[in-house]
Amino acid sequence: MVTQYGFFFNAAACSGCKACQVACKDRNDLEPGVLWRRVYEVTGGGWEKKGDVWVPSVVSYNVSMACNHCEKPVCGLACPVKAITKREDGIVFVDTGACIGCRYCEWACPYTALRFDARTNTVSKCNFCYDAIDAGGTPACVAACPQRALDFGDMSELRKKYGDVRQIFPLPDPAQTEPGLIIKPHRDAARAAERGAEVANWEEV
Amino acid sequence: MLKEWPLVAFTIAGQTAVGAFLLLFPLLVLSPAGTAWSSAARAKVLVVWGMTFGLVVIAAGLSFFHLHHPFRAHRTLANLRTSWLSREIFFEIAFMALVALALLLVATGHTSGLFLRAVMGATAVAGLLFLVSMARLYALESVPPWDPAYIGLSFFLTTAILGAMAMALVTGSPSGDRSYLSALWTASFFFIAGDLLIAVFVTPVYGVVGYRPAPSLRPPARVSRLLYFGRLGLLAGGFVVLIKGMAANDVIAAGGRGPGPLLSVAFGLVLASEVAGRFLFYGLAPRPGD
Repeated sequence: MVTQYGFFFNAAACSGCKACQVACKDRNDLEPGVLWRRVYEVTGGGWEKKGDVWVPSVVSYNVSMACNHCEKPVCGLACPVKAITKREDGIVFVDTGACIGCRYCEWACPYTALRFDARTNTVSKCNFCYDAIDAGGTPACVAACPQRALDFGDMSELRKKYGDVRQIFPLPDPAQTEPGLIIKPHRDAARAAERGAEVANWEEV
Repeated sequence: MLKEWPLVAFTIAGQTAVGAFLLLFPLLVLSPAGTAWSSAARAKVLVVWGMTFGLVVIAAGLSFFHLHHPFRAHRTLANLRTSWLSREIFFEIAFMALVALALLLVATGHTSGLFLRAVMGATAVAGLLFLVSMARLYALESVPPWDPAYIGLSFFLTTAILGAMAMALVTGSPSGDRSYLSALWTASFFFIAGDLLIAVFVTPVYGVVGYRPAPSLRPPARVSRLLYFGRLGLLAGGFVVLIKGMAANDVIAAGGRGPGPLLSVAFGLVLASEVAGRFLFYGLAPRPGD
C-alpha cells in the first residue's frame, strides 16, 4: 500500500517544452494564470577568463515543479480552517468548500504550489490527478512528458529507483516540509548559485 | 502590494490598540486595590480603553476585507493546534472581549475590586499573545525576506510608538495632567529614536527590496525602493516635529481641548511612516501570479 506518493523529476532530461504544464492545465481546466505545475527556466553565468582565454560559464536548465504533497505540509499546518488535508496515501488536498480565501497558505508554501483561483475565490493546487491514480492511471504531467523526465510513485520506491536528492538550486531546503520529491540534478545545478543564476521566466510561472 | 491594504490596516490598528492598553496598564495595576479611582482617572481610563476597544473592533472589521469568503470566517478558530493565524484571531477576540468587560466594569463604577485587576491582567496577557501571534505568523521560512527577529522587533516598536502617541492624543483633554502626557511623549521620543536607528542600520539589511538570503521559488519583490526612503523621511519628519512640539510644551492645545498642533502633526507623520513601512513589508513577499 502506498503511504506517501511523490514525484521524480529528471532535470538532466527536461528540455523545458512545458508539455507537463499544459497537460495539467488542460486536464484540470485551469483558468488563465493559474498554474498547478510550472517550468522554471534557471539561467546564469556568462564568460570567465581562464589563462588568456575567455570561456563560457553559462548555467542553464529547467525545473518542473508542482505541489510536492509534503510529508510535513506546512500549508495545511498554517491553514486556520483546516481546509488543507492529507490523504492516507500522502496526497494533499484543498477543500475549496471550506477555504476562506485568506491566502495565507500561499505564503506558507516554500514551493509556491498554492495558487489563487479567481473562479472559486479560493486557493487551488495540484491534486496529483487522484481520480486517475485511484483508477490505476497516471498524473497528466507525467503522462505528457515527451522526455520521460517525470515519474511518480511511492516515495520508498522512487528512492530505490532514483536516489534521494531533493534539492537543486533554486529550490528551498527540503527540511522545511519533507517534500514528496526526488530529483536527478542537471550537471549545471551544482554551480548555479555560485554563478549567480536566477529564474529567467518569472512572468510565466 | 496595495492589495494587502486590509492586512496593513488590521495589523496597525491592532498593534496601536494593544500598545495603548499595555502602556496604561502598569499605572492602573499599581494603584492600590480597595480604593476607588478618582473621577478624572476614571474618565481617562474610559477614553483610552474606549479607543482601544474601537481600534480592535475596526481591526477585526477590516480583516474581513482580505478574505474572499468572509461568510466562512466563523471557522477560523478550527486550527488552534498548529495555525498561528487561528491563534491570532483567537487572542484578538479574547483581547476585544476582555477590554469590553473592563470598560463595562469601569463605566459602572467597579474600580476598587480585585476582579477588575484580574480582568486587566488577563487583558494584558491576551493583548501580548495577540501581538506575539501576529509577529509569529509572518515568521515563515518559506518567505526568506521576512526575518523573524526583525519582524518581532518592528511590530513591537510600532505597538509602542503608536500606542503611546495615540493614548497621549486622546487623553490630551482638560482632565489630562501634563506630567503624565509629557511622560507619554517622552516615551514616544525614545521609541521613535529606536525605530529610526533600526530603519537606518537594520532595515537595509533585512527589509529592503533585493534581499534574497536563500534560494527561493518566490518571485522577486516588485516594490519600489522609494517606499523605504519615503518611510524613513516620514519617520524622521515626525521625530523632528515631535522634538519641536516637546520643546514648545505643546502637550495640550491652547484652548485646553486635545493635544497641541505640533504633536498632532508628529503623530500623523509617524502613522504615515508606519503605513508605508507595512506596505513595504508585504511588498517583499509578492504572491506568484499577482
